[in-house]
Amino acid sequence: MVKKIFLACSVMACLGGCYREYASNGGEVTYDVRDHKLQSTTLKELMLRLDVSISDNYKSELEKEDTRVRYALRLSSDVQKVADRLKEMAHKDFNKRLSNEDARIYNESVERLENCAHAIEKVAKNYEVEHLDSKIANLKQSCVACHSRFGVAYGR
Amino acid sequence: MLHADAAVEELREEIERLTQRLDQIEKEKLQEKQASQQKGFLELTSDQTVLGVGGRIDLQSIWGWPEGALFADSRIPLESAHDNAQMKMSARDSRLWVKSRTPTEYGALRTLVEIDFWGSDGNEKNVNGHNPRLRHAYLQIGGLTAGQTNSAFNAFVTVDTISFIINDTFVRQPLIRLSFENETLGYDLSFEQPETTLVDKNGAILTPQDDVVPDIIARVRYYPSWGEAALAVMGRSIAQDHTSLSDTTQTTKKDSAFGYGVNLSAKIKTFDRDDIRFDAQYGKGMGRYLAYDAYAAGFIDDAGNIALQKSYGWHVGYRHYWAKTWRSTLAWAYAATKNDSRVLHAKKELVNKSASSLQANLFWNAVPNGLVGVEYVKGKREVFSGKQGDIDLALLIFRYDF
Repeated sequence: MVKKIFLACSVMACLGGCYREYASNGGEVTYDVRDHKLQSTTLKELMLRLDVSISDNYKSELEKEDTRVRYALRLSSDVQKVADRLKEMAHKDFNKRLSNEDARIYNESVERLENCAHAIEKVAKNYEVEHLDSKIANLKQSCVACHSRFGVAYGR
Repeated sequence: MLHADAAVEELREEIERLTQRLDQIEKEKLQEKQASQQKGFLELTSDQTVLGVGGRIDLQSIWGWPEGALFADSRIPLESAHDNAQMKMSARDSRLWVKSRTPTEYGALRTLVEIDFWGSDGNEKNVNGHNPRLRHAYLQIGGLTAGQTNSAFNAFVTVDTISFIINDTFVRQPLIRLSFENETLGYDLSFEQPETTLVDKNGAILTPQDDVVPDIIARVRYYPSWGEAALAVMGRSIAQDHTSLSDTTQTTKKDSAFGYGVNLSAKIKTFDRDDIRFDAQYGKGMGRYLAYDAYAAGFIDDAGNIALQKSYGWHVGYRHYWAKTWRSTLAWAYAATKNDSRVLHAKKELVNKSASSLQANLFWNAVPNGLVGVEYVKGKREVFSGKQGDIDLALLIFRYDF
């Protein structure tokens, strides 16, 4: 459980951090900082629910699975929205301010994020909840890798 | 030229060495497989079936004043009862389950069978050999659920307590349910096992066994960003046909009536991980769906006329997280009936009028899926004769879900 909460916080911190940089970078703000925070909060809530829903004493094992699947699908959907936003940022002018190498890595990172969202969605739709933790760990790695590459350089 | 030949020779040797290594690995894998088959294996209907096995170890220690270790409306002793305290320990809420998942052209086919040990009592003097009891046995595929599991009328959101809440709407029974889901809403239409219960003039609860129409429940589940909520509406036929009363006489006619119930429950997030939960229900002829049949669905007179009764209840609970692994819930609950005195034929001291409870607890998740908890419960009951009773319970629990 502690591990899952750590992952949730990491995902939130990564996504929240990426957004803050861009919004405060002095350029055209295409994505309001408040949106970043709201989306991060939503992700955090989803992750927490994935974690605590199992404490419902009345629900059967399949009902608990249903709850986890529902929140995993919403998590996947929200991560996909984040990826879409990151793509949108790149198309506007974000990539112009990056070196060719950084732009390539940025685009790959966004693609990796999308893949993570798709992987979570696939696992959830097939009710393969036993694979959910590993897919969420991949999501965390993807966020950390992207943020460690761009987060500091483009920080506040 | 000589140098190139040597390199080719060296590569050949490397390939030869790798080939031998590959053969050796394959041989070892085959031996491992054969060895595992010799040790025994699990045979499943489909090689695509994923089988899961799990359960719960649960020890509850309960101190009750006056004596009584089961907390429910009709179990609260009245003032005339002896005022002795009693301590009981039980591992009967331990559980075992087996679930499976098999991919099909209609989506995942999932099944669950679960038992606990609340079957017939064992002897507490020596070995406490309590018998298993079926909890769940059902399958799900697409939007179809078939088998025995939780009723769709149950509170969708429940408070986080060890003991039952006094207005519990909790029934497990055979059912056929159709469900439809989208991102924030879920819809259920459930056809569930009917079971009429009526109270006769002696206060006995009768089950006429004359039901012919399933209980029908429609439910909407809502998953907004602020929490969860569900509204369930139930319609049921309450029927008897020349049933035998508790004094062995038989009613002279058959009768039936339409009962209904509405149940609204929700969880609203407040601060950080905290939330507030509530559940409220109202109905006429809800009977066994509320508080474990503590309030009669209706009364039956000597001739066989059925008079359904209104009942209602609510609870509210606040769950607070002191830290990630420490949490508490404070809950208050009330349940009551509006029996029509004109048709209250039963002895009044045998018919419940109302009950309330206050519960407070502290839980510690010592390890993931492990729980240690203490809870204090204060419960009150009143019957139609005016008699009252109350009970105090202290509970200590050790639980681990594996």
